Amino acid sequence: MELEQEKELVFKAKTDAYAFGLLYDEYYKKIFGYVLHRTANVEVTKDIVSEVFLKALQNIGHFEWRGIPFSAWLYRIAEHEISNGYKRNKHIIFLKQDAENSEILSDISIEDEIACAEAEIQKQEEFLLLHKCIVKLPHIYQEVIVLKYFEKKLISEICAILGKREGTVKSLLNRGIKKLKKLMDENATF
Amino acid sequence: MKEEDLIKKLESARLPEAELQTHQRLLKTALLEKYESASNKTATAAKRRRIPIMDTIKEFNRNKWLRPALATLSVVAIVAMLFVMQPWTGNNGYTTLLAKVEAATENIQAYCVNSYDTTVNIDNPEIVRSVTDTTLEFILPDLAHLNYYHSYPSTLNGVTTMKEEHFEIYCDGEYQYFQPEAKEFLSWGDLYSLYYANGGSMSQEHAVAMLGFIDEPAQLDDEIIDGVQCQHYIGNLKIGDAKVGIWIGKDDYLVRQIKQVVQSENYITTHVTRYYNFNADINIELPLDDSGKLLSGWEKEVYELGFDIIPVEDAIASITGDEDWSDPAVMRAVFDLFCYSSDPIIFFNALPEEGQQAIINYLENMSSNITVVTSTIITSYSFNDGVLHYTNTGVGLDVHVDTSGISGDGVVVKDIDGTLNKWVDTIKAANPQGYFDAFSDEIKREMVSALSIDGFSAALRSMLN
Repeated sequence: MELEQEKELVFKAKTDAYAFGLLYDEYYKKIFGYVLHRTANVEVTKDIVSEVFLKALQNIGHFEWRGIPFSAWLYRIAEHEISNGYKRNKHIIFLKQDAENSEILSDISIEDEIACAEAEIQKQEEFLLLHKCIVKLPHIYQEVIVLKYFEKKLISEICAILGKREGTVKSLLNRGIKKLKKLMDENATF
Repeated sequence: MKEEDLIKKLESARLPEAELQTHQRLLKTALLEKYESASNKTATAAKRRRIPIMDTIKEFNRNKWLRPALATLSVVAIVAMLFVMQPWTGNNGYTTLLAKVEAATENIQAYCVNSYDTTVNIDNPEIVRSVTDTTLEFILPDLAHLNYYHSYPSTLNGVTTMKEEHFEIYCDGEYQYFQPEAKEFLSWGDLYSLYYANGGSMSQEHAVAMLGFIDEPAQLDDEIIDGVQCQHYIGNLKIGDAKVGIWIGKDDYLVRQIKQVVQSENYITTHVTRYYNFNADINIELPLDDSGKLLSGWEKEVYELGFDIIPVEDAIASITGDEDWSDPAVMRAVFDLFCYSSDPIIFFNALPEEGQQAIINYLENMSSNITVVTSTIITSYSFNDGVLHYTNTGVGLDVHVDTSGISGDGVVVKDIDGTLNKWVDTIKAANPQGYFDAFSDEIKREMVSALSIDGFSAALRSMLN
């Protein structure tokens, strides 16, 4: 989506549910993928992604367009949820309320999908090995490494997501790789 | 494994391509059902208040009263120092210099900082009230080693001796390593800035912000700092009456030294911050043995921000540009952000002119409207530059007693119990300031002297409780 088009859509989404739905459709998979690559856990990813979009909905009225993609804001919310420990209890309340209202979230197909997705993750041994070491890094390094190498983001995009300067991001990547290498070496020893 | 191989592995790793189509569909339905209530509620509230910055403050206020008295004191000290602003008229040459200095910081990977602060009596500069000598080694983004030394006078029955404290702290990412005596310092939350390696009062980024915070800078002759020829600028800070000098490398545009002199009624405090060893091969060895275990006497824990300090980038982001700067609630909110952001100077520089003026107005208003209320319970008190502040937020206690101009130096407290009772009566009085002022000068000097006696504050607290 072009930035100008997105700007217009974000503006509409402040008062128009349909526009918010379009933004959701555009970014659900990206945010889901990012959280999944950070957590390697489908159940947790599902909860965090729900929380991210709920927060986006609750706060879109405050969102101020400053030329930074809307997705950068979503990534930041996601990162906040991941690094500060998402509030599982709060989320459960959200889901329960929905379930009570419509009973749709108790749909058995979600459980099936989660089981399939978990099986898919278990197949990716190389990813799991990398992930096992990445999660031992401080969050800030996890964030830049996953954004750069798994999500294939440009440095400028990472800067927008993190709200940090290019030099800082490059420095974080450099040090993160060094630390990850050390962990990988240690992991290979055992 | 080589780093290049690791990068290739990361770039080529096959990632799980899981999808939860049902979740995606159902979540969308749930969100859109909530849309009316959630977004409209937010929009209505925002429209009514028109103060998005309140959200940051609201979140912060939940915990801010947990800040220890010393941290509160530090904010009061900032406020006391930063008072009365004159608008900066602008200077193209200086603006260009500022941009060059900012660009020069981009390539810094490591450096050291030494901050040396001294406070002396204004009428007798040989009497040193305190010395603080802090050295920081930084390897960006988040590896740091801090060496802290503080020396201050302690008086017992008229006999003054200098006390000293010293400790080291290491920061590595989200972890900090410290010895038990550093615990109180850590509780201030000051090391937040080390964790992110920006916005800290001793960072290069802060130094650059200081450049933009000088009112009508004047260039003096070049000087040599640490063997480097430097351009030398002086001026006053935009807020406050502190005089400041900044030395900038003539060729590399790195900030090499900042000197600030702050004068109060009784004391002169000089802060000298030196920046050196840029991109040097700095070696920071964490207090761990060869097997990675902590050395004896050291503790390690994840650094908890606790939201005592608002990250300056969050504080800046909460300013939307739609604020009604004449609204007292907005002024209060932006003032709180100013005081509690990780770098007030960077925050101030980022504000529009009306926002900067709102802070000035709030400071002026605050200084002319000090309220005195009384209570019989006291939980903490602090003493700074002649203003005693007794607080107990739980019962609304907020008593200020101004003791400016009363020196307790060299005064022997003959009757500690009696002096304790005088303070208790003062705090309990309907008009504490009037009650205190009514004592003779001799007794007032004795009361002030007693405050520096070890254990006096604990005894006072105990008696009031």
